[in-house]
Amino acid sequence: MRLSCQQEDLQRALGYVSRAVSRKSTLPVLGNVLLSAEGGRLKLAATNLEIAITAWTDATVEEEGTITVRSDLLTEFVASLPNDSVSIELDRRTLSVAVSCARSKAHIKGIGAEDFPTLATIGDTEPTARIDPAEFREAIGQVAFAAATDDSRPVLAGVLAEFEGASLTLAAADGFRLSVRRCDLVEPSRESLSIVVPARALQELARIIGDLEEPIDMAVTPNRSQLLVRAGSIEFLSRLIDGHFPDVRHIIPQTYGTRMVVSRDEFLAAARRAKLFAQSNNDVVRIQMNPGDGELDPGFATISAQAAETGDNEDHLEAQVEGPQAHIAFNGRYLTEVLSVMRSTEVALEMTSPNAAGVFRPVGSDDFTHVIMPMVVGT
Amino acid sequence: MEIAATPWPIVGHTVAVEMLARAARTGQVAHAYLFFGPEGIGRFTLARIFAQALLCEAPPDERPCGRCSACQRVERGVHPDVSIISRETQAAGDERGDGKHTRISIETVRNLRASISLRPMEGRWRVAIIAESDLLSRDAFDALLKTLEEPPPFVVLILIATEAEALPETIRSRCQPVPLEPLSRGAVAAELTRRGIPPEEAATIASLSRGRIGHALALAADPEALDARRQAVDAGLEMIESPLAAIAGARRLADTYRRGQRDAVERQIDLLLGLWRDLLLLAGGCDEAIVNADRRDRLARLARQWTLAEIHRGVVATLQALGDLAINAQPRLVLDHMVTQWPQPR
Repeated sequence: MRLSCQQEDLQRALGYVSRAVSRKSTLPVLGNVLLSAEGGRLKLAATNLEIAITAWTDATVEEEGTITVRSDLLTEFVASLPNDSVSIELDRRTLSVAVSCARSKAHIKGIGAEDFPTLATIGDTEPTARIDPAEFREAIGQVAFAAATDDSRPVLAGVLAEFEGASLTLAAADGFRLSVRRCDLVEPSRESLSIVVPARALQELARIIGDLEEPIDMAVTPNRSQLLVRAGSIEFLSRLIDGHFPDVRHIIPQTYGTRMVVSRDEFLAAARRAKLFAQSNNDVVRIQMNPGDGELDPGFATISAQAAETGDNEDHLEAQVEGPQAHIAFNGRYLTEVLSVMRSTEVALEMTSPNAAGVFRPVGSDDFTHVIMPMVVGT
Repeated sequence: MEIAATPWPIVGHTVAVEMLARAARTGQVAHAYLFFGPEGIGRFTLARIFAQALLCEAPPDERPCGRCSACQRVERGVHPDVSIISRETQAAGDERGDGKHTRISIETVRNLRASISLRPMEGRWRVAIIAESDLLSRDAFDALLKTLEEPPPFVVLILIATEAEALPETIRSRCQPVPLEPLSRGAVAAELTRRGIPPEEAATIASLSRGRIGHALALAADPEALDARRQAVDAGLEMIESPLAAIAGARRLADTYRRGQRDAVERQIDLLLGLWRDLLLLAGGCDEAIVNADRRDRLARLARQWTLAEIHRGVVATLQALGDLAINAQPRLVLDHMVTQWPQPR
């Protein structure tokens, strides 16, 4: 393998793939990045066996070849080089990679590429779906945080992704809350399918597609084992979780007794204040909805928290309350987390009783639904 | 002895190989297997070859081919769809690197559980080999149980244990048992000869290995180990031949034991037990079955002076010493008692 490329390009590509490098693993090759000179380009790839990231960069390839080298070492070495042409040459006998740029030169010991996992790739096959990166990124941000972080039920550590017609629905639940977001596809999906993607993997993907504008291609491998995403010169792979995801439509309450509409910013600020006081009382934040007398007095909501040792606080918000007076209590962290990912100026909270789930919806859009189980507290 | 040819590159275990090869060929694979048998007979090798057969890229009849990238990576332990759980891999995955790793922890099993809930990276199967199932902690067993109850359809768990009974009933009943036995002496000798060991030495090593091919290969690879073993046998024979040497030997063993080398002492008593067993076999006319065939004449001379009942007493006393040490009896008393119970030479 012998090639040369620009330091800037190489550094950017390494920045992408090094996110998939395994920090601790029993397999040394997973701490390495794959370098592969093929067809006039340099391919870089890394995997931690949950996700894999592949990036291509322009290069002048004089001799094709492939090797893996320690990711942290190469990344930091390349980052320290001046922006100039970098030449990379592999000694096939010693598996040592010579990297030189301007007046610097290094030899890095490699591991043969035959130990590196074979990664599926979209290649030239038609993708299953195309989506706008900004919308997808927002959707991931609104859903992935609700996935479970413990390993007790592996399927709940994932995000359900349902492709159907021109829409993609993402859903995640951890047993106490559920977040569902529907988004539009650029072109209708070629087939209806539902997969479960690890939440961590989607969050990583969201970071990668952060500054992209062109629609990204998504495909699921024929054996339904992996999700492949192609975004510009980067390919992302995530293994899928096996298992039955709970039927989210059954979890969302269809009716309500009391509904209030409040400003999202005010609600979030009040929830954050209440959370300060709730910290020493199991994070219990109480919400009271008070209907008004009529047209001129729409009603108000009280957000409060109290802890025996710390003290208490109370916020009064203007609210349009529909239905009888009601109260409910939520975990303060869940409350602030959902409010901070909602984008509308006004949000609606619907409930039937203090013991039943509360439903959060943006006003003016039906793309997002969030359900939180209440905390049952003595009155 | 005739050695049945198996389609897999492993010595012996014909029945198990046939069953596993059929499973791999037809795709009717159980979600969990329990390989049990003494250490050193090829349990892990068999598990690894089974993993190769499942993941091999060759046509079904030729699996495992041993040549494709999948087979080679399984062999080197770097295939992404094969997880190996042992104290070593647990220590290697330890972030802080300060754990003791005397047992396999619930953390390790939980990580495994999360990892096998992901669909395969390359092949059709996800294989997890738990190399030392006997060493799972109680909590780890409970965590494993959840996986065994509803495993993803592509997962094959292979538990390796010395005794099936060492595992909780709840675990055992959810695994397909694959009993593995020590190999015949002929099979071990034939394999050693195939690897270029002179036939005579191969026969000696084979008889000493007691059917554990792993031990035989280790002995064959290390001439010093074989010499050390011969010296230990001679020391043992001397103890049996002379009551004075016996008492001196017992004291020496007790001292070694007190210095904390319990394993070395247990090995030496085990070796004494083997000698008594050989004497019993010689006295009973089963000359062929003896382990220490290279000391046949010396053993035969000894065997002739005692009755079967007397030799049996020697066996029982030695066996009891092993048991007593295991329950922490006073070592010097135990060993003195052992040698005084042995029959006196005439």
